[in-house]
Amino acid sequence: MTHPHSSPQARRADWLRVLARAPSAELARLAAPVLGEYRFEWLRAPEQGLMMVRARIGNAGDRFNIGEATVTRCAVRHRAMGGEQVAGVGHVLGLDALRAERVAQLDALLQVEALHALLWRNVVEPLRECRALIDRDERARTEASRVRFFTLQPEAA
Amino acid sequence: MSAVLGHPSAGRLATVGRGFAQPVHAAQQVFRALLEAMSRPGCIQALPEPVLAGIEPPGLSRGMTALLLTLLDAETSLWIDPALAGAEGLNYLRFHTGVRTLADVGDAAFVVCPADRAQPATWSALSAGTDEVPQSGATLLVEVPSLQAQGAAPSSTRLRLAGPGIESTQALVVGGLDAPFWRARAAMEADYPRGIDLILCCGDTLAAIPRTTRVTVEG
Repeated sequence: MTHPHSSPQARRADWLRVLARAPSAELARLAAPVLGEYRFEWLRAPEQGLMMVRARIGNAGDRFNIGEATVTRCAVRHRAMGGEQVAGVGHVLGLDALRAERVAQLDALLQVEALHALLWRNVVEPLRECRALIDRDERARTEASRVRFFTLQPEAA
Repeated sequence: MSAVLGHPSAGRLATVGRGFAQPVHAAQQVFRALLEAMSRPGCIQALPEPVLAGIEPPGLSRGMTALLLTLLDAETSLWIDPALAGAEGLNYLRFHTGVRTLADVGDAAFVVCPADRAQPATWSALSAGTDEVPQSGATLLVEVPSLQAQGAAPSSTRLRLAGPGIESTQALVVGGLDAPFWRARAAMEADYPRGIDLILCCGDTLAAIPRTTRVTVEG
């Protein structure tokens, strides 16, 4: 599958989004066999903190603070075969440090030219599909109980 | 969603060195040494080697880097001399501490410079706090070429310190800072409680001269 975006930043944002939203078990299952072979160094060991989540009313109005969410973040460094150094970051919702670590490690490896295509095929795409399935099920479940409100306009005399 | 936990973009992140291996324990040990130095003005303290072992300082000495990693956080402001920290050094400090770096030295809570850039005018350029809020006075951290309890080193000044935390007097021989610099410091003693706290750092050792200390130059 081709990349949905062209600029490197947009592509990176895309895979980070996929990794951060991937279910923990599925991420572990797909990432473990790949990550075992590489060495990483902590730039920032996992830290847990709060982030203020902001939203817009009706997706268009003024911003307001909707609430705080726990977030775990970390950063790792990896020296690739060619000697180039890459850093990966992991930000995930919740307190799962191992999950943030896996996201950061995959992020670092995905920036290595030689590994990118393989990881994209074997990790990123399956995780994206997995998430899409979950989202579709959820939408279907919600859709089944959807209520539509109608107001009858009085006829003009 | 707005990020409260920020980080520099990853292109630059790849060049950022390691900070403390164990941030909490390391910062506690460095802070302990600094507290000791502040309570005994002019007494030279060594920073514990195991704490310094992992860090990869960006142009600064290991000791100064450890001090900055300990003292700075997102609520502090820093002015650092460009001769000590270029873009890489600033990135390092911002990534590991979240500190704000300021363009105006007079607004910064922490000011870092090498000895050869510290002038007598430096004292008046920094914020000394106000009589109501003296604790807002800046802390000046200077990287000096030599720091000894006694003896003599090239271009060093012999100081006699007195005041709280010193029983009678304390001798300190500081390299790189000339007599006019110290006389300007001594002239500030009348402004107490306003003032500037000074931390001298040389390699892995440090000594502090807080604003309460009276400084006399012995030539």
